[in-house]
Amino acid sequence: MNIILILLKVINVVLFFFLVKKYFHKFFTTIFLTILFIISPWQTQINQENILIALFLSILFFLIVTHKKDALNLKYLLIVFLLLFLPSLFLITNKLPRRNKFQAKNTPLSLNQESIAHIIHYQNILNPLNPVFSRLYTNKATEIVKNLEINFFETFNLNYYFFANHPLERVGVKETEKLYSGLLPLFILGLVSLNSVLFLPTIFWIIVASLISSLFNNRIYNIQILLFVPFLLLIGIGLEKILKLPVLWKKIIILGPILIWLIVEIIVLGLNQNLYF
Amino acid sequence: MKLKYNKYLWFAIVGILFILAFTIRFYQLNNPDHGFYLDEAAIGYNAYSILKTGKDEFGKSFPLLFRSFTDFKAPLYIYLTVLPIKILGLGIFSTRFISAFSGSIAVICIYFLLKLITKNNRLLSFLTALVLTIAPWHVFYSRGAWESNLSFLLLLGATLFCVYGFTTKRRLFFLLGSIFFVLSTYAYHGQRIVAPLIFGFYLFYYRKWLSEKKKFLVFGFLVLGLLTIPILAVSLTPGGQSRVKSLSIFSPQTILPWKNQEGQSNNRTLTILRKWFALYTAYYSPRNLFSPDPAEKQRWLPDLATFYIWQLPFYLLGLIWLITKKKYERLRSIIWPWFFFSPLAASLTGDPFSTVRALPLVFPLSVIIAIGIYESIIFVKSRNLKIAFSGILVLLIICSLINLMVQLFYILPFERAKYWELGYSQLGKSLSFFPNQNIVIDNSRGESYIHVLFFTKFDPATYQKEAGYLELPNYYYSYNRVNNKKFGQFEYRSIDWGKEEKEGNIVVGDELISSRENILNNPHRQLFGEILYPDKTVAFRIIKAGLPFY
Repeated sequence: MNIILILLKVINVVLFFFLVKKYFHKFFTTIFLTILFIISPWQTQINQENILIALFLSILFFLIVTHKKDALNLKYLLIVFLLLFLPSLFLITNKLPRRNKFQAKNTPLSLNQESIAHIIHYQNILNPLNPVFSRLYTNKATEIVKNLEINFFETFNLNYYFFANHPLERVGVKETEKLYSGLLPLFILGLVSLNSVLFLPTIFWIIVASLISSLFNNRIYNIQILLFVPFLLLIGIGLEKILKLPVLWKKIIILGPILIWLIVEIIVLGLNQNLYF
Repeated sequence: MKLKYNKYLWFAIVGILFILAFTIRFYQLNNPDHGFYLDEAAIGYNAYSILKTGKDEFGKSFPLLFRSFTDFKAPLYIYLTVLPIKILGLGIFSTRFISAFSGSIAVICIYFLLKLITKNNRLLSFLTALVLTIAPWHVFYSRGAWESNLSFLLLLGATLFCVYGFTTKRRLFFLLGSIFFVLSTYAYHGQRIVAPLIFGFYLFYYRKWLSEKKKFLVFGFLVLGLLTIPILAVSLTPGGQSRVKSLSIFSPQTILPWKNQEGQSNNRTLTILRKWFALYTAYYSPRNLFSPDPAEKQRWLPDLATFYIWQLPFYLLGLIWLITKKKYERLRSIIWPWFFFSPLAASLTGDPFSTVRALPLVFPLSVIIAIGIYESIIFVKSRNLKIAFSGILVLLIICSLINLMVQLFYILPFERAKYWELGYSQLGKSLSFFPNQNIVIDNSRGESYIHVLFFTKFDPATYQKEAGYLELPNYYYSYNRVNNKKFGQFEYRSIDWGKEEKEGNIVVGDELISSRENILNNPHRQLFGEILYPDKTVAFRIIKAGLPFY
């Protein structure tokens, strides 16, 4: 690992620490999320400077919106979003190998041989019904929509982030290890407890990143790094929701099993499976 | 301003919805060109056998589990199918009738259940029933002889009676609902896990009211205990546990994920737990619910998911609204046990996203999507926008229905012909032209004997006598199978061309049994007929073997 990579990782950790310190009230949440940020396979597996800079920009976006949360308006949000989202997207995609690039031949917006064969096949099935209907039912546009849909759901899949894509994983592929499954309850809780001021920027970022990932070739996993920070923030919101419970035993009953499972998972599945190095 | 709905208008709208639900589920149900699966044939023939002889295909009198190929089927669907077979005769329609009927009634049931829970919120109840009516998940399983669909209706009925009993403070209705919960376990194996959990939750939820009359509570438990004893007893036999053992993720044969060459977790329990958690959450993942999954060839439509993609935003919004809005408190208490327990049995099997085993999940998901739509309609303040929104919704529903119909009636039979075992109906008709010939059916690539029994309406008493090889005392215990069978003029075994030619048999098999060229060049074989799949590939060849044909 080269020195620039290490330096960028350190900067990201520090910046993320400041973000969560500002975002959350409880110090426990700040420390918990920062540790998660450091040990998450999603972050540790990054070995490209451009991806780390993109991650830096995504942290910066949330830091700015958090800083300005009392005076956040839509115009301001859009400007900050465009200024940080587009460069990060460029950084992620411009170093991809040529075959995977965002280029006409490989994107869902252009059809490959398989898609064309599919159109012809379906039109042949439906032609006896009605030739006009058959062309309306299956055509270039419907095939493009279908491709976009498949790509979108590659990103929009909880199991991809919390279970290394199981039960649809590629066996032995470590790149899909992202977050520990023990974090899923906190993530869900965070999603439904998202407060109104930060709801818009967080959801907006997640939706736009997911939608844009549909435009790229299937299985370009780097793009999803843009979801790392908002996902951690949602986990933090979930955690804080539990920590705010007035009764201690309730906190212990809910959080205890989650934390135990998480620690076991980190030790047994994380360290033992050698996800970090 | 609160809208006042015209009672009669609502009556008409809901009536049209029910007619639509019945039409979608029954239209062309009898069409053999859409395929007829092996398990459906087994259900139909066993019901026919019970009707004619009081015994199943193996000669067992009124069994509690029906032995079928490598597993045991839950009994209720088969016993209920006896009635349509008695009235309509053995056929595809009569075999599927109970499922299609259950699916249609489920729509009515869900409407009244929601109306009851939401204290007469007609629009939300209608939207929920509408979502269920057009849901590909529910329509697909309503159009085949699926036991899980009957059990889904029984679970719905159970919930309806329990909620009605509590609302009207009439304990007998609650008891009736409880009996329905028990009955659902007789309809589908998975409900042996799901039904007690949902029922247990309701018992806990209504505990104060229920414990007011202790005598009735004891009486209720006695009745339920008596009804449960038979299924409980049979569940403890090897037959009753066969599905659990063969499918469970805890079985030693289960292949575990997350293993790689560099290092792996040796802690099997932990990996299984994580695998189960992954399988369980897969049932809520938008990717599985709203994106077509090509993994399940036989049990799914080629290009549709469990719900339509346009329902995704309503699913997400509905989920948030259901969790956060205080007005849904009562609905939550009814929905959550369904939501959390429905995929439990399915997730304990190794299969990713088994739509048949997790079918009860269609109810809470329909409610959630309906809440998303309902709240969106309310959220839109302007009248014009409301009309535009409703117009778009109607358009989407029409397009979705057209898509569903095309998938069901055109794409599915074409794309999944082999998985849905097309051609057996025609084969049955073709074989009836050779009443006095010995017919040998190749068994090296399938279990087609049950189709032959079904489509030739073979006399069950004769079949039991000639092929009833099983020791009946071991019915629930033995896994012995006899692959070669002989009943009437039919022989079911591997093809031995020398023997067939010597005996002059009619030989039936798929395209691999003998190529067209081989038949044409061989004077000992004569091609009597070919049954084709919709893509014109060969499903079956009927060949006459014997002395040279010149």
